[in-house]
Amino acid sequence: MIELLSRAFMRYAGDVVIGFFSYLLGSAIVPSLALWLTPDAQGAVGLPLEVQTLLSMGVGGAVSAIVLIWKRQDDKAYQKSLESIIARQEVGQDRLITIIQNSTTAMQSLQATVSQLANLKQITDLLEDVARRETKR
Amino acid sequence: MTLSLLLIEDDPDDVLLIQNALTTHFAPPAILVFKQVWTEAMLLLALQGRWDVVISDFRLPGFTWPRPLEVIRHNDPLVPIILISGTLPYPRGLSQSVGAVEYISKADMRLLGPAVERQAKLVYATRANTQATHELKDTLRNKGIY
Repeated sequence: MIELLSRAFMRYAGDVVIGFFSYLLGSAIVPSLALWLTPDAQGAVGLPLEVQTLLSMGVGGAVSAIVLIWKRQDDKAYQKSLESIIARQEVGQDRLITIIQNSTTAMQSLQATVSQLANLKQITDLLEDVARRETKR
Repeated sequence: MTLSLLLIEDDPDDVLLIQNALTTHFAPPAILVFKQVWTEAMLLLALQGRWDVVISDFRLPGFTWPRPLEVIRHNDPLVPIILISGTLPYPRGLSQSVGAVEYISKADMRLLGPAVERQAKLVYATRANTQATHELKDTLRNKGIY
């Protein structure tokens, strides 16, 4: 439950905050626009308050929707670039692991060969020693 | 396969998130051994043991990154460190993670399992390589060649 809540919060907290502020921004634009579009002699707003409120809500909603759609696209692009970075990293690390494993195998083979050669040399030395003794007799 | 994981994390909920992400990724028979630390003293004590991967949070009270990195590198120059954070956006997190091997955002915890697996594979390969090097040196020395 905690995990689900944490994930939901992390996933949608940014959307909620951005949506809220873009809604406020959009809502603030319309009264200014209405004032600019229909000024009378006293500079009063020409549109009724209810219309202004409706327009405010509509524009605020539209602005926040545009911003959220743009954010969603941006998130997708981010996700793609992240996946591409991770894929490249994986390929690089796989290569590194292969190189290390090959190096390990090579060293193990070298160790076995060195052991065999050293044993052979030891046997050869012993045989030569025996041969020398036999010659002395 | 047994993986020893050192978690530098103070939040129990985040520890649960990390453990859940990893137990989901590593199915049995893989065995995961976790140890949680959240202070410098605890970390120093924990570093006396051997760890396959260290997972470190970015911000801890009185023990913020890069201090954990400095302490770990002073004691173990090779152990892979994965930096995680819930507050750093990816590019900033990546730039902060210099000295660590990977950066994972807490919003993308599904990436943690594969990251730990990659680092663990690298650690095992490096350890096998180091052991092979030592064995080769020993053989050369014993046979009087080196």
